Amino acid sequence: MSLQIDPAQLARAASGLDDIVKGEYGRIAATLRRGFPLEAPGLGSLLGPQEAYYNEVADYHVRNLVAAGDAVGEIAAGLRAMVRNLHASEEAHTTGLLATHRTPDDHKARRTTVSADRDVPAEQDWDGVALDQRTQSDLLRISYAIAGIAPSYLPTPVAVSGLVANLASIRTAATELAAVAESLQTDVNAKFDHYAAEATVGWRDGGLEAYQGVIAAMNDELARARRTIDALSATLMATFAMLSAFWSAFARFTGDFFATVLRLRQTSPNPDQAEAALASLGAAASARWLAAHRSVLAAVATAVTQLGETVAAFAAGRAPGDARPEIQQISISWQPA
Amino acid sequence: MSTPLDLQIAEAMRLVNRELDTADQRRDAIAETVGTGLSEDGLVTVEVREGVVHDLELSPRAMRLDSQSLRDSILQAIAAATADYTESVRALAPGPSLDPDTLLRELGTEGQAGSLLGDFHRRVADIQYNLDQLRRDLKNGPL
Repeated sequence: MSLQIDPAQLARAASGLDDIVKGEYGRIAATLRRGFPLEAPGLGSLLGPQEAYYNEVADYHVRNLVAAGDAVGEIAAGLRAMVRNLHASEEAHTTGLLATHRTPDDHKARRTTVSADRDVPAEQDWDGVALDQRTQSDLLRISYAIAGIAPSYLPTPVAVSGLVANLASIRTAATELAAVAESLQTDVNAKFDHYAAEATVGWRDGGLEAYQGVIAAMNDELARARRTIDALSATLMATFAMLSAFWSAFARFTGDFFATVLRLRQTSPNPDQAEAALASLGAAASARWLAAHRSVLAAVATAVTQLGETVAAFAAGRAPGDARPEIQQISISWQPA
Repeated sequence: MSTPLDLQIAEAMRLVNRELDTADQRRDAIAETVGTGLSEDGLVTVEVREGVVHDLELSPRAMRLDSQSLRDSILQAIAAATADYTESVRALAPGPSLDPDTLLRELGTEGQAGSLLGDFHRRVADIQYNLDQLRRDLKNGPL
């Protein structure tokens, strides 16, 4: 079957993909790489394992977007190869493989390591973060002071100290991930779709169907990448909301409770009665805060764990850090029919 | 710009600072508080300071009472003085009741703390609902 293509159209599409879209994926991967890490103390010491998993998942998505840029470059190279082949053949007939098919070894060799520049400071304004942590620390100091008056309250500040988190950084990261997902949806993926479709104008037979299959597979994976990054953002925002709700309630409680135990100790006519009342109060309050504390840990753990269901490889039990980006698994090749 | 959390924490810190600022003054005032009580027959007067009987005054006529009546009068005066002292101290400590039973109830499901934690658990439930929804969306999506 003869191949009919519009070489100018293919060249324009290749240029758009190579000069514009490929760079956009690189830039958005860099934005994600800068935006996802949380400033210390992150989610807090007790949620350290969850934060480590979040980092692995986010890192996977950075690699996936880098792979998207590479794949776009390969599609552009394939289109240019078609144009070259057309010019080289008097019959304007192309019979070979137009884009280089990648082997698994190639994938491994080309795998991008994103941790290399993880230490580059994000261009963020972190003002206010220290204030948040300081006030959390102040609340803990007050809670330890309460425990000094009512020792049965001691488990509360000990447990809550593990939830001292960088709330501002969590919120900022969630917002940035949402912006990345939004940009992927409305801008970058749309540009890919536009330029990839442009190549098909005037193209008849000669691998068109296979090319469209590659583009469809890319579109599916890019849409999935957008959705999973959106889920990552939603999970982070839910974690922020959960920790904020906890600290908000704890802050309101701590001021009142401190005033109460202090007055109780100072003003009780009967010291023995006061000690007994303080012991009961401290234990009752601690039981309630430890229950709230468990709620936060359980909810955040569940939320982060469900990130493991967003990518087939994670769901299959592979650690995100070991998983090969799904976009790398798309075979970028098409042959004339 | 202050967030609601900032405002709540600032309010908590204001309460704590106010309490600390007034604690010394209150301690001095309590140390100077005197509760006085008189027996029903008016023959015995008791003074309570710092929660204990500090002074006891017997009218000369009290010496004519038999021992049981004198005992009753002294106990009446002590009870009255202690009640007066307790009331005076409570007046120096504005705010929620310092009755231990009441405080424990306030920490329960119906008190302020219960309401606070109730709000918190409702918010957690809302967030968990949204996460469940997200999970369903992800499962139903083209993953």
